[in-house]
Amino acid sequence: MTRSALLGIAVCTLALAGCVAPAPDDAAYESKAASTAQAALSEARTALVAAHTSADDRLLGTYLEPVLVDAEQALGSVQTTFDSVQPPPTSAADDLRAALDPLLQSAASDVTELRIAARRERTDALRSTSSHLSGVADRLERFAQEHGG
Amino acid sequence: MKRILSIFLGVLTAIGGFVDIGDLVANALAGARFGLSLVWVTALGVVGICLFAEMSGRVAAVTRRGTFDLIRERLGPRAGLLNLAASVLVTVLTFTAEIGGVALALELATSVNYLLFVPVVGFAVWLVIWRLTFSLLEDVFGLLGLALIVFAVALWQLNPDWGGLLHAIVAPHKPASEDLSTYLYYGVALFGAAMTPYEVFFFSSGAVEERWTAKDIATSRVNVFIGFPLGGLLSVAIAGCAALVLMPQGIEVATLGQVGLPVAVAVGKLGLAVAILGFFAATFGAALETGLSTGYSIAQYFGWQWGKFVRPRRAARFHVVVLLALIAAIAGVLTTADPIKVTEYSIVFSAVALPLTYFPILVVANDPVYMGEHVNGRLANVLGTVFLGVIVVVALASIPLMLLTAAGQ
Repeated sequence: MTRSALLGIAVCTLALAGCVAPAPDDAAYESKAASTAQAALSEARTALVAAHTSADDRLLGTYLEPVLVDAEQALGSVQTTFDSVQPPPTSAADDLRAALDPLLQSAASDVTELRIAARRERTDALRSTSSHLSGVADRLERFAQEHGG
Repeated sequence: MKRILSIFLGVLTAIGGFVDIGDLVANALAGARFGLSLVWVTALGVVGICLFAEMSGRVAAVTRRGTFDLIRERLGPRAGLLNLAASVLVTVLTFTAEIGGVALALELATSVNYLLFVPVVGFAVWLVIWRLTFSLLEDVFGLLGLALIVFAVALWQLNPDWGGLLHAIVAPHKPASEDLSTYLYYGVALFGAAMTPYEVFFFSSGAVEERWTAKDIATSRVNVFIGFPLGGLLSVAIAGCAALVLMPQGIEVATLGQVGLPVAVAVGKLGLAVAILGFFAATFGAALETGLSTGYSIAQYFGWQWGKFVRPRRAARFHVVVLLALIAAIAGVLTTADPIKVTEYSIVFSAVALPLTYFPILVVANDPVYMGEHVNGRLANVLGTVFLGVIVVVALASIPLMLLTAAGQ
């Protein structure tokens, strides 16, 4: 094998190593869970800021919907990515997943509710769902902090 | 009086045309994640772009020739071709990001999926390049880009602790929760966004389009040394808004919608509408600039007739290159690759290509055969050499940092 081919393989390996984050042990899985919670928090809070601003009549309706759709899609992607990681065979890892998964589902569900309320121009539903999502976001934040995010 | 108005217009278009999708995304990303602790990088980038844009404008005014024409002649066809390949690849990637940015701005204004706008945006870009005169397209989109001043208004409306903001800028501290490598990676991204190579090609080719002579060097300097730094302040305002509204919420910027949210919070609907207009103008204007820059670079290297100062029929190959670049950019966006991710990669790859862009400009500006009495002075040479060193370090660090941080993850 030529030197340039070896170099190419090395570069590809490094690049793939940057893209894929396997979870071989509890510590790595916990780190993955924390970064997942952080990413979900970012999307949930984006939806919250948009919804609050809209409820205060400070956000254009055309702007609210794409922001919520993006947050909804990103949350779905965050959840799918986390669920696709094989957890290590320990009770600690199972506990982590059991704690985080419902939060991710709840956040995704709330943002979907917000998107539906935005399309129907229902400010009351925006406010009530925001209130619930706010609690979920706080719990995501605590989770991320407790697990090193 | 007419001359003063012309200079004033030039400064305004330089301010309004300074920010593009790369600046919007990089500054909002950095502001939301690192506060104002990376503003020093933006300031460094603005000094660098001023330095080299002044040189390239002076070279164009004195020689009345395009940058790549001179690069090929001065460095030889092989080195010139390497330069051309790197510059065109980065510029087409940036062109793709700008087209995506225009479509995203339209999505925020209408709620219609951005992908549906992409062919329309592509056609509009082609039509404007084909039909509008150079000065008209430069002035219209430069002036509309001033709408982004709404970010400065929003920053003021957010009523921040100005002393605290200033302290964060002049005594920057990396947030404890962030790795040094991630901090440096975003620094590279901000530097690449501020010093994007196409800006220099467009500026110098524009000087030839507008038939500048040595008499116009003073005007060029006013545009660069006043317009660009004021444009840089818009970048800082975008970062400041993100730092005040998004950072405390733990929001990491991944969409153009998130970039504009602080304006809605601070100013409300009218301010947001102005911000969307600013997004549109900044990205559409930059799409015109990147498209034209691709045509300028290739046509100048191969010695073809180029520019909008001649009828399209006389510069047919130049217009074909612009059209092909546009088709490539549209196809790139239609792959459904996230335009914001494309933007992030385009500014990092810009940083990689920076030495190839700026080294030849320094060489030509320092060559008395080309420049005569307008050759670089000692100050320009010292600053240019120091900056070239910085640019080389940034370029060498870009890819390792990207791999080490998984592109800032």
